[in-house]
Amino acid sequence: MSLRFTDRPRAVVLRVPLAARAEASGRVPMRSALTCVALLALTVIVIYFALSLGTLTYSPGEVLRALLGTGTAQQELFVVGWRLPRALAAAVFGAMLGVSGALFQAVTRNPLGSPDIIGFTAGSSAASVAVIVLIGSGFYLVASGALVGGVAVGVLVMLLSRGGGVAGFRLVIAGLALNAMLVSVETWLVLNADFDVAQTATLWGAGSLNGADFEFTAAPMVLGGLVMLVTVLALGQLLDMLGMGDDAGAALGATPARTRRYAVAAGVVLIALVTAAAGPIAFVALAAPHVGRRLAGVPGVGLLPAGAAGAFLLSSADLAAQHAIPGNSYPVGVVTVVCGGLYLMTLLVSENRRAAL
Amino acid sequence: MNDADLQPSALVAQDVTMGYDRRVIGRHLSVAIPDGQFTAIIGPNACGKSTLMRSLARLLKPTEGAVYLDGIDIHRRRAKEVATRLGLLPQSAIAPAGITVFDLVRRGRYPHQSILSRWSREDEDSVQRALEATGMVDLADRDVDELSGGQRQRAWVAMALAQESPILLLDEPTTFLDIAHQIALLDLFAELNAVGGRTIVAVLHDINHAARYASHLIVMAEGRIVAQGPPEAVLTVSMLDEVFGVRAVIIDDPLNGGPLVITAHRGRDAATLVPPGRTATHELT
Repeated sequence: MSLRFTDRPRAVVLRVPLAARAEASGRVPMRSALTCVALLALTVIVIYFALSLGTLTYSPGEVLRALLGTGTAQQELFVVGWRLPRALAAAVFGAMLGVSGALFQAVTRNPLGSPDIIGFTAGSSAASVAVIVLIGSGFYLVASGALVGGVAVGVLVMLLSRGGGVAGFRLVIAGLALNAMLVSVETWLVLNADFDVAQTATLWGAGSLNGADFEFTAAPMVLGGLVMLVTVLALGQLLDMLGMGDDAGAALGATPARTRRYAVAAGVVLIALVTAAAGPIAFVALAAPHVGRRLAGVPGVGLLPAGAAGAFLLSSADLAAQHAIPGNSYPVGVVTVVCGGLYLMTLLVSENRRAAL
Repeated sequence: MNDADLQPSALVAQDVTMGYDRRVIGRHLSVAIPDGQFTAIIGPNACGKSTLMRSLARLLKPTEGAVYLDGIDIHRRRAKEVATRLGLLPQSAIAPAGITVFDLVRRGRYPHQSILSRWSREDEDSVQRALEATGMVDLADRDVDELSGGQRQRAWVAMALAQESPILLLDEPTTFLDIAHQIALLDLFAELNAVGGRTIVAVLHDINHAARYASHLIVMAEGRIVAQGPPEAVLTVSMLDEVFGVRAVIIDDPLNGGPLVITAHRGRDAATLVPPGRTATHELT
């Protein structure tokens, strides 16, 4: 096995001999590798604070002992039983949202082509609220509602923006219009529901990790992790090839049409898992790929930086939601909407300046 | 037994009808690309040259007939496997924003990589060789966007070289370049052909460049193959008149040998165009 750092162009090269003539190898540009490591380190720090802070604040030693199972029963209940599921869910779901956003942006070739803009998030939110209000609030019921609604609205937006090309202004306009309509439907549903049902629906619709519990989050987290791994390994290079144009890519043996189909499928699965487990958490899928790409300085899709940035963004947002205003714990979706809205505005302004729309 | 078996060439188009949607660009084309030679495809704009290139490169599926690579229908082979045998530099290829020369060239290795082997020693060596062959080593870290037209085209050629395919298709590789860069590129292709034994197929607009560099010419007009063969046999005054509608004389190239086409200036007396002391091999029609 060899790990090499090449100086020009700066990159980390990893080679692992597998058998007599087979060798696994990979190459990550240095800046991209450093960005991912730094973002993940920051995420770990955020997770530490999430484990430590609260009504009862624990010292680093106490947190560590609780994690290792040598702390007091109370420490373990707070740190491992209550805070850890939520902190881990924030990191893993954030990574899933980031990767999902990067996939959608690569397929639509549009920096705004994230699940938030193309209506997936709004669709799954409205459908789930409808399920909660009209049918019931069982976990799997709501989760399937989220999936069906998201896919349906995503397809609708794609159809409406057809002709203008998915890479166009039409995609954004169609997405925003459907978003507004769905929000009003959601409001109407909530207003007509019984008080406690309405409260459940509203809380769910905001996107929250408050109730994160391994019983419900473990499956989506493990599944999401697997999908991300397969996507990065199997699709990473192919997605980069999409950026070269269909002819140049196909001449190199890439399969652009099939790549797009797989990418959309993986993106939908990832966002659906998160939405099903935590409700619609807005804007992370939009912002994380940009933040990751900009920090890593890589052209193309940048799935790894997007995932790392997503983990950091959602962890931080959830930490802020719990502790920024003492005594008040908000759904994380409130924080991401506020921060993401500002981000979207700056993005629209800068894209408009570059006349990319 | 199909007709392709009769051809010694690795790359053969057999009775191909090609087009987009319902628009037919060319009907019943048959060409055999001679192995190890430099083939140039010439013809007026919109005669189907690029479409033929795309068909030969498996990018476009013929509606009738088939393209055979090594005797097998190219659409029955996997895209990645075809890419190890045959490379294509598309017309006016656009690099992703912000990509460096090295990263672009690196992507030429894609057909040789797998899910586990993503950056082998061969990949590394091959990219280095491609950068050296094109004189791009010193520019490897530069953004492709920052390069001049000639350098950018060399970067793309380096990418196609890193692919290390025995057959290289080039769609108008010299368009938009100044004369010095055109010649530098054509010399590079000639060297790849002579030294590396690569089969080169290039769409060229300059007939004299085609005559000078290619050992085999394919002439297309209105979706048909009008003539194929060595430049001396294919380039005739009547062909130039019929296919391109230009009046010209053809003389012996005093510097490189082979035919040299001189087109007539419509505003001048054609007779004065024949250089004194040299006789035209064909009279103007």
